[in-house]
Amino acid sequence: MTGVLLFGVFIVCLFIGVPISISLGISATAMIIFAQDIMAPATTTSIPLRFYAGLDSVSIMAIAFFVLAGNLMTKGGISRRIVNFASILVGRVQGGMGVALVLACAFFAALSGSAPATVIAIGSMLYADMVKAGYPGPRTAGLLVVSGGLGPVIPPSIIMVIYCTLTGASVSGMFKQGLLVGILICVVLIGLVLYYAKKENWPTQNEHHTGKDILKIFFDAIPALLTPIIILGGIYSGILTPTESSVVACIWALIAGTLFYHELKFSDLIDILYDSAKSSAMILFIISASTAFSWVFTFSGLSSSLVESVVNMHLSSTLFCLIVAIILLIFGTFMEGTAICVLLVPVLWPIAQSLGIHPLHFGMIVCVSNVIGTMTPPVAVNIFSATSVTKLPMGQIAKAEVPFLIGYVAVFFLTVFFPWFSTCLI
Amino acid sequence: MNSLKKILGWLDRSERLLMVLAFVIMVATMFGSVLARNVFRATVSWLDELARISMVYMVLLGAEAGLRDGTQVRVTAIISKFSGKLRKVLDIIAQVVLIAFTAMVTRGAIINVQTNIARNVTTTSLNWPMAIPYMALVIGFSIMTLVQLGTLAKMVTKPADQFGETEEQV
Repeated sequence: MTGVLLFGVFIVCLFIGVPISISLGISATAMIIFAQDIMAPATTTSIPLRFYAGLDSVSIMAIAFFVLAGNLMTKGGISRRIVNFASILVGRVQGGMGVALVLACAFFAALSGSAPATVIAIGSMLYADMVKAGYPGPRTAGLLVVSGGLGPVIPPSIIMVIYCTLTGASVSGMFKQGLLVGILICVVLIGLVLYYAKKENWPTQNEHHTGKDILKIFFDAIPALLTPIIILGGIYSGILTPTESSVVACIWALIAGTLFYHELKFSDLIDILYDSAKSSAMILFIISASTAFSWVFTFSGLSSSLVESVVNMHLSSTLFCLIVAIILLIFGTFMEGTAICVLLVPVLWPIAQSLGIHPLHFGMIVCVSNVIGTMTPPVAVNIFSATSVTKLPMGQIAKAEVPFLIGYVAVFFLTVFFPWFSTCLI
Repeated sequence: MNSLKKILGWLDRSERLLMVLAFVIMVATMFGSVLARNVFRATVSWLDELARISMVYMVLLGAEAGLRDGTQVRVTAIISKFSGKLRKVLDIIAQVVLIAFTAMVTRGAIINVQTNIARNVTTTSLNWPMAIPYMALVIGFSIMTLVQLGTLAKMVTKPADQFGETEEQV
């Protein structure tokens, strides 16, 4: 009955349009007020304390810094250098610009932890040129939507930092495995691009680069290519924590944008800082509210009863992972990724733990399914972002992305059924 | 209405300035902490604490700005199916619930600040009164309550046939 109160209030608030963060806080408060028998001695003054506790952490600061670093890199000309570099890597193959798009998204993903940021940054650089060169518009937009999904899988990843904050899993472990899964998705997408290039007769790149051009593009891209080395190298070598590497990435993006590329002006910085503060505040406020929600969920005993009832069902860990994957994919069609993570992870993680599922395996299921949610309508931020770049209707993009989405989902189910993909590098 | 717009304009500028300032402090202190540890082989714990306090202020002011301009994440798939009188009623209910919650958190946050002042509790590294970080909750949630009350007043006077169209906040 108390579970109905907690989740019922949350769902009603959500459906009448109350913001997700406030809905989480209201349902937690409703439990304290209306279920005093199990919530005593907690009072409503505990709620602001829980909100504060959710923010009083150095590790979640990485989210704000990665958002800022991504914005500095986009405005500082780094994305254009990455697109140029990806284009010379591909050469003159049929559908080469499609392959370059996937590679550029993968490189940009190694700088930014966000899927829509990847779609906008790479889409605005490549889409118009690809359509002009004869690539089918909707299919290219579909490819852009799915390739943008590499953003949160290839580290650094905001959703991975959120998951690790909620469960205590190792951020550097998640990042290592994310790199592997990201490369796998990249390979599958390139395979699909080459198949569709033949099937739909996509053009071959005519532009010929001399050795001098290639060297020039490569040297120009060095400051941009150094960014993932600084971020990941710092973490994997043990010199920097993920939060420290995210702040170093901000400083490096600032240096590259102002001193190397001269595209970032100090007058732009106020707007960049404000936009980044606002977008990261939105994510962090949801996390803060979810801390109050999950505290009530645990304190009331709901968490332990749920774990007990699932354990009594004697599910195998694989079947449980499959059920979780399906639940997350369904939620992903109508809810935003961070909200799904902060709402469902505190509920599902104790069960996964009791079934002996590895935190990184469970984390990969959560993170990759979260990204798939950004590509599936009606709530699909990647498609919204692609719509703003391509000016194509949402339905047309959603239809054209299907073959690439199937490839992405296939890799996702590999990670669901084979924990090895999520744990082999530890 | 003009004076309300003036107040909101002033609020927006002050909030923008404070958020940018808080973010700059976060970046500077965390980067300072990296340099201190890796270059000077020294651990300066107050830098981390200052960064955390700045983040709390930045998030609560940013959350208020997001609520005010309607960019806080919400599920619109169901509510967007309604329009007219029913939509007006549902929007007003959602707004009243939101205001009740933010007012309650403001009250709780004020009690927490008073308790901390009375007990003379300080932060671990900077030795600042704990009331300073907790004050972020009082400021953030009280502005949310006041601004959302203004939005509610506008909702009540707005004709029902305009509900369900793109809605501007106060």
